[in-house]
Amino acid sequence: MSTLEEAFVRGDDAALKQVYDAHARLVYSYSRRSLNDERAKEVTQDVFVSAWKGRDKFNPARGSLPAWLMGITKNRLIDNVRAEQRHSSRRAASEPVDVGVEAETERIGDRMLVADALKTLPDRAQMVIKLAYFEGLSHQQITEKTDLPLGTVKSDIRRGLASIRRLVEVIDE
Amino acid sequence: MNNEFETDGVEDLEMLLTELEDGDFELAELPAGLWEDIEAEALAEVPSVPEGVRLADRNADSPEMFVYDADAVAAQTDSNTRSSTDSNVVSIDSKRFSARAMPALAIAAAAVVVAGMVGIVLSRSSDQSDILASAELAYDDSFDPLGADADATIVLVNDGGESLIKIDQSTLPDTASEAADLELWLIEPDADGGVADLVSLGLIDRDDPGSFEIPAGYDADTYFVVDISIEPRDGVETHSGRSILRGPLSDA
Repeated sequence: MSTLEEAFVRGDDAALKQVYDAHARLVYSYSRRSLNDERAKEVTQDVFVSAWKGRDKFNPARGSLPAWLMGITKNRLIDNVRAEQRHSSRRAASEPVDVGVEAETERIGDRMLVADALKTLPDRAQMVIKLAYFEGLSHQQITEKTDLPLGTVKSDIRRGLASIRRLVEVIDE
Repeated sequence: MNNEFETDGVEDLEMLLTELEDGDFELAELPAGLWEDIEAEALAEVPSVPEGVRLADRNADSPEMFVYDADAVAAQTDSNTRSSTDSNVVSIDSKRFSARAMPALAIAAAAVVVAGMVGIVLSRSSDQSDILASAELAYDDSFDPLGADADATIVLVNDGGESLIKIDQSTLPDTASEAADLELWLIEPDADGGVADLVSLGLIDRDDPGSFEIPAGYDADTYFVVDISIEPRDGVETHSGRSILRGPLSDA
């Protein structure tokens, strides 16, 4: 557990501000993907207040703090999607409920968390991973394009993925 | 646990990486006032529920006001007429407290004299048959000294199918001189006796305390600790942290 996570769980007021500074833009931006700015602000406020009040439920052994915050945000956004669907189904009962919206909301949260974790990597590792996954280059092609040794490319990818996974993964109990 | 980000090993993460879009990297600027709103709501100083209303059983010799009575819970389980069909809903019966006013606390409270405090006593008779639960509110040393000589009896009544919180009897300090009001709250305590959540029922008219609706979405089974606080007229709607009286509802 990081020092900041420890301080947050302990209830240190300053830690709430630090956690907000570190992750509020991610939470807010995720909310903005499906809500207007006013509702996104409300959801962000709700997420941080809920997280603070329920901080004893945060278990660092099961996932990082940003993953936990994004999980809470995801639940709030899906609740919102469901509420809107209930609302619209009252107006037109024959319209089928769009389950795709819910899945997409979830997927966007996962992607944004991964993108956020990617940004924490050293520049070289970020570049190598982007070449491998966005441009679909093989390890060999990356070495030719960047003049990096093959071992470095493979190592950057392996260590980068492990580092991202530590930040995004939540282990089920 | 439904907060999880699930990755089935590296493959799922690799798939997500290939699906990333430019928009996934873009972070919006935070709206003005967001932190201030969070700070006001999350860090509002609410005194923790005093020792006396903690849920854990305690040493009978300690100067406590309320003792969690496990036997009463067991005895009530079958005869609970207010129980919900939803087993997740905890009723007041299962949080039954046996209230015992302990001399040590009473003496401590009486010894504190607050200059300028003018208490008034109001008595309101409620039809006993309508009373579902009641709470004797008491002052605690950690509270605002203005409440040292205050007391109040709160009842939860069934008024034509609607649950109302009524101030049955009260001796409350006059806060008009310091441009403050008295506000009535229901608190959901956490397992450690802290405040998990709370909701305002409204400002108390000292001359006519009357009754209060419980806001939609809240119930006295979960929010079963009653609190009265001093609220400066400063436009801040969160709890000031200046409680004067508090006590748990226990069924009548």
